[in-house]
Amino acid sequence: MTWLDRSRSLAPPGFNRWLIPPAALAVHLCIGQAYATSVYKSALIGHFEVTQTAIGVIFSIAIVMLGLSAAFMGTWVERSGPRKSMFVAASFWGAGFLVGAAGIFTGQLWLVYLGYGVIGGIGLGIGYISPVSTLMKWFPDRPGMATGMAIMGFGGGALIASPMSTALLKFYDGFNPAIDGADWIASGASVGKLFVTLGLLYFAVMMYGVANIRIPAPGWKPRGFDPAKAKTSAMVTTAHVSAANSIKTRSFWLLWTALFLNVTAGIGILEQASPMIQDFFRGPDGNSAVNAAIAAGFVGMLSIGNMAGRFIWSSTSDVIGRKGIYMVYLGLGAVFYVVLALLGGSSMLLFVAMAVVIISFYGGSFATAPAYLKDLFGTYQVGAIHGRLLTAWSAAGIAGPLIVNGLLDMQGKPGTMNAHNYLPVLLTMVVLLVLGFIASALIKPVDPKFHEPQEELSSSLKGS
Amino acid sequence: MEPQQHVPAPGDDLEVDVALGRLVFGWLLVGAPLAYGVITTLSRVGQLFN
Repeated sequence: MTWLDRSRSLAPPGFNRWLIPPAALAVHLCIGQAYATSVYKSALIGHFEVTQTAIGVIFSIAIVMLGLSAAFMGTWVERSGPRKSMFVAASFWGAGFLVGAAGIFTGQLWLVYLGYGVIGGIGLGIGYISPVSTLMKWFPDRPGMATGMAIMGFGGGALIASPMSTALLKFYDGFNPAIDGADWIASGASVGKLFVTLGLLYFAVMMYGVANIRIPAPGWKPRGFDPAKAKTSAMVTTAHVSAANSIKTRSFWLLWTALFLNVTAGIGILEQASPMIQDFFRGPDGNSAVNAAIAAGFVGMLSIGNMAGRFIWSSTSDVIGRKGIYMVYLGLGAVFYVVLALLGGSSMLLFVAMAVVIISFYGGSFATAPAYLKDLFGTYQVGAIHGRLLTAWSAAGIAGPLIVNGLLDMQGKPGTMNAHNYLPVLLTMVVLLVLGFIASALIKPVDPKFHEPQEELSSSLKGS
Repeated sequence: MEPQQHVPAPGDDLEVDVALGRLVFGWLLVGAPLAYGVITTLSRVGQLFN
């Protein structure tokens, strides 16, 4: 398939680089559906007659596969170029839904694990890293903004998938508000049809990205951009480090630690968002001032904060530097967590504001990471290095809920707790963020012994 | 190795092809669903402060 080859996706002279972000967003908006699985969770529990955990495992497998495929396929993605890797991602993501649908229609839960979890999860990992290094090559003057735009799509994907899936489920079920009422739960058959629809739709939209992604010609730079002037900080290198060498450096693992701790702390809120706001505003009579509908609004607000933070904070990092913005995420994040823990229950506005900013830092840390890696290791194999860094996400996806659920289980039963019961969890998150702050502060430019020899690099980059 | 088909474009001395139609289509394709998602979510958020 030569059309997919790296050499065939080379941009012609005068190509408009602003055509690249929509191509990247087409992929990230589709794979961002992974954050909207709660829409059909209850329907699948009823359809398969299993526990919440058995259905929750589908999402967990997908996130673990995301991290693994990004880590192990990163070098292949870098070598094959964005078009071929985005095509593979679209195929896996679409096929994952179709195999998952087969599992739902036949009542075989393991097929859903295999389809959405394993096959779809591979599509998630490859799709997540595919356009990132290409974007940074097109926007060497604003790499944070460029990757922020794409990775914002991953946060925004859930905002689209959630209402769209609800509307489709109602359509397939022939939902009638007068008969079905507020307690309506979708049927398994309608979830199967939803999976088929999403699989085909996402494949088509991702193919737009495949068709329109381009890599800049070797030596290309934006008009008026001088790379020599752009290098204004010791933290920004002009050298290049291979993916294999990057994981031998202290800075990689310090950044891994900082990302892991920030994401673990963010998951602390995301995981518990709905019950948490209800518990924080529970009166002495045991009744909460926050009902389920209001709590859903809070979850929506967090989604918007998560998405907006990816673009806003990553773009800000182009101005104040990657290390500076990570210090803000971790340092200011710790302060906001303290305010949330001690004063959050006194005011709804304060509670929501603190939580939204903390979640915006969570999203920002994802979006800023590729540009930080580019600063530290150069663009040579930054996509592959990014893939390895994303294992921090998988690890946090396991550690975060374990910490939060474990500490909350010691405090009481769901529906009976108040703000005071959240102190141990939130103060644990503060400790994690302070540790992350220290790790971030220790990040230094990479030792030149890890840099690629210039002559080998020149021939390699010409070949790309 | 096959020679590159395109002459490297240094950027400083080349006019950028705006490609307005493709640009509008691409940004609409991703922008319209995103706007739908944000507006739908914000309508739920309104209940927070009612």
